[in-house]
Amino acid sequence: MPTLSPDIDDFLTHHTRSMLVTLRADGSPTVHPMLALWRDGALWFNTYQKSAKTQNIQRDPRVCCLVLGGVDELAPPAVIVHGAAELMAPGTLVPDAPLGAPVVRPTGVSGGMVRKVEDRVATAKRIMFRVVPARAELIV
Amino acid sequence: MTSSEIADFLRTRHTVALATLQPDGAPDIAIVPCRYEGETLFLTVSPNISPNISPNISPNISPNISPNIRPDIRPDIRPDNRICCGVEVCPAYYEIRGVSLHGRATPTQDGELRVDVEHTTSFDFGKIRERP
Repeated sequence: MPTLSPDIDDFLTHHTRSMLVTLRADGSPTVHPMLALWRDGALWFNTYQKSAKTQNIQRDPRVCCLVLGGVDELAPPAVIVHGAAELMAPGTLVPDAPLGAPVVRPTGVSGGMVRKVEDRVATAKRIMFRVVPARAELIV
Repeated sequence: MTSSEIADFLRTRHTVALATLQPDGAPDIAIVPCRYEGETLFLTVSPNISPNISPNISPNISPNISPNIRPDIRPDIRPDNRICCGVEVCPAYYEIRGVSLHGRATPTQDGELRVDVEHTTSFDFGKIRERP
């Protein structure tokens, strides 16, 4: 894994809005708006076990991801991450944020919603996957 | 979203997340200026591209991206012009709305990229909340 610049690490720590690109069965790209959490040097995502995203990653793990600031127009600053997605074992939860690090949560996402997702991960209805950056760049 | 809601939404957008394919088939992504006109999405590219480009040879063109968005990246559609455009707003969880357009990028005589849409998906979390 390449060493990321402090600017990129800081941006990923403080932003969760992302657009993930996976490859469909015919090899064409598809964009998934996602919530991405930066933990332990990887972007962490969750999705339904039976989702198209899961199937795409199982078929071809190559992905890229645009992590954005703001809540409206897509615009820099942003970070682009390229890498391979790794589906985690059923029941695996996203690692806790380091002590003292900000816990970033989009507006309107309640603790109840987080617990519901965790329950669905525990029952393997949802699954976590992570992307360790093979390369990353900050767009300003 | 209904088709008219999708059109209304796209008319308010000025940028898209453009997913393309690299020569080895791996995905790439960039932020690209756009305009939605007459039911068609156009991706704005640098004006320094020759206006004499023939659409018939369009797959061989690597367009520049508008300098105010991404001066250092030129999405390369030469090997494969299949693309996906993602557009989304997320002021709050139940206000997330977005559209994904799958299709092909075709350069126009004006140096823009026209998105020839083959498939559209959309979501509006406000409608999820309204479900009984």
